Amino acid sequence: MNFFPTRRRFSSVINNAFFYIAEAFKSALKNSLMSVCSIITIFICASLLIISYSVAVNIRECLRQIESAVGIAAIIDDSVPDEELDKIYNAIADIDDVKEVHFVSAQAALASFADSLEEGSDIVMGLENDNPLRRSFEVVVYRAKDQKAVVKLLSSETFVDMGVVKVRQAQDVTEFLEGVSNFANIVCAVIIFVTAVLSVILITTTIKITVASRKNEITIMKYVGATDSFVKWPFRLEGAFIGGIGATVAAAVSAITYPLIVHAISEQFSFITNIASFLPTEEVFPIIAPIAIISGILLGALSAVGALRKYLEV
Amino acid sequence: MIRFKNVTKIYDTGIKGLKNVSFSVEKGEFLFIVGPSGSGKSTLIKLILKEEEPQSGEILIDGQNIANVSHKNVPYLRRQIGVVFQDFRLLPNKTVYENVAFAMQITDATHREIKRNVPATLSMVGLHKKARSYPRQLSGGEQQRVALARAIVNRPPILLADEPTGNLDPDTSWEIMMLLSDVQKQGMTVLVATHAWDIVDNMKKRVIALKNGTILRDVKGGYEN
Ligand SMILES: Nc1ncnc2c1ncn2[C@@H]1O[C@H](COP(=O)(O)OP(=O)(O)OP(=O)(O)O)[C@@H](O)[C@H]1O
Ligand SMILES: [Mg+2]
Repeated sequence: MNFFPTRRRFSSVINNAFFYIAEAFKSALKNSLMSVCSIITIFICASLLIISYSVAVNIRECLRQIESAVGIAAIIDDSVPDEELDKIYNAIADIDDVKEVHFVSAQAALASFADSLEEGSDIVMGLENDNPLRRSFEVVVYRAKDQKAVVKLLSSETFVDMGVVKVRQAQDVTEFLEGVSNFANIVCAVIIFVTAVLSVILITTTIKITVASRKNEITIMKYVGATDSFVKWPFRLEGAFIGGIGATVAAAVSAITYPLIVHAISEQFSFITNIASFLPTEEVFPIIAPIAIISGILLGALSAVGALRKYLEV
Repeated sequence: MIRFKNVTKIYDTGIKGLKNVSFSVEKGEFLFIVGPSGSGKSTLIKLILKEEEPQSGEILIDGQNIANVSHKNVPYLRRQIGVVFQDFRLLPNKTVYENVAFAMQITDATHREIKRNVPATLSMVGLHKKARSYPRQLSGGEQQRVALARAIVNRPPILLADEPTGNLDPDTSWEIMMLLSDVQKQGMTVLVATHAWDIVDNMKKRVIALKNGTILRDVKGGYEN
């Protein structure tokens, strides 16, 4: 007599696979109330995951755009004659981290200020002959983090002697925005973590109820000589199936609503869209949708097995 | 086939289920285990199934000490042993056919083997006409026949029955016992724990009488008062 496993025949592995799948579907349908509860749970968690991710990547993207858009302005004293501007230009362009330097004449500065006002640009009209704005060089660095060093250099004696009176920089703005971004990342990570824990608890509970109602069945299976994995597979598949459906629905719903929400925000808060644009659906969903669906499937399967453990000790 | 050597089982509560029990059953033998409630009949059966572990002594099946079968391999031990219980323990959502087929599905049986063995076994217990019924549509005696079919469909060398007639009327009980006897005639080793004294008296098989966890009598070839 042999009390040990023998090599399994391939055909029986296939047979078993069909049996597991059939059992999982039957069970999910039979316990439809529980299944619907679990699907809703996963749906909510997956939606939160997708929302958190979308918010985080959009904040990061907007920051990147803002950071590269806002440069440094080195303002030149009115007393510096035009002939010396070339010298200053060359000195700035020679700085290692500097990518571009543009001269902005006082008139150009005034015009762009008038543009930014949209309406009421007639306020500026009278100023053309008595321009309060000074000439400046607009300096763009390669990397936002180099700004501080460049600003320091431009404020140094060398440049002050040449006639740079003031250096205006976006550093403060970018630092603030970076702080916002880090905070948003942390909040999103916490939301994702908490919802993951919550969903494991909720799904485990739902499946535990399913399992408890099938305790007899499991005991009988074990008496007849079913291995633990044979007992587990249908439940595991049921959990995966439920998790997969919940997460897929969440991915579909958010893929449809995402552009609508982006549009609504852009309409409402046009100041954001003036400086930065949100990521399009095609750049967010090919990454997060598969992650959400796979997480849903794994979460469902793992919770199911977690719920089973107690009953396999027969 | 089955051999108990000085087996003692003490439950967590301190109650002794079995005390120093020794006996052996030959291949193809039919054995009744009788005794008052709490005498240790179910304990003995649970020990063979490795549902409980003895504190001391050895249980050998086909010469192998089942203490050496790891938890992981217990299912493979159980596939060599068919079991029937007082409360039938059928899966309520499966038909008669599916309940019996289930015992084959958990093994490496193919579709063809299942299609061949299940109807044959159902015929043997006289239930081939009820293959599509659900357990709740059957009488107690019929349900026990299904349970018996499930226990023997894989042709295990050993069949254990724990009060198989406990929920049945005398006539039905007799029919079930006759089926168990048929199973033995096909070469299986059969152990039946029971309260049904009249049947035991009539069947003239070997009887082990337990009391308070010890063997009171071991009478081969029939019970004579
Ligand atoms: N899981 C358990 N935990 C603690 N004690 C138990 C357990 N199972 C059985 N017992 C005790 O062990 C003794 C033997 O029980 P067992 O079930 O083997 O008796 P039995 O002969 O089958 O009785 P019955 O005819 O009523 O089924 C009893 O005193 C019982 O209370
Ligand atoms: Mg008992």
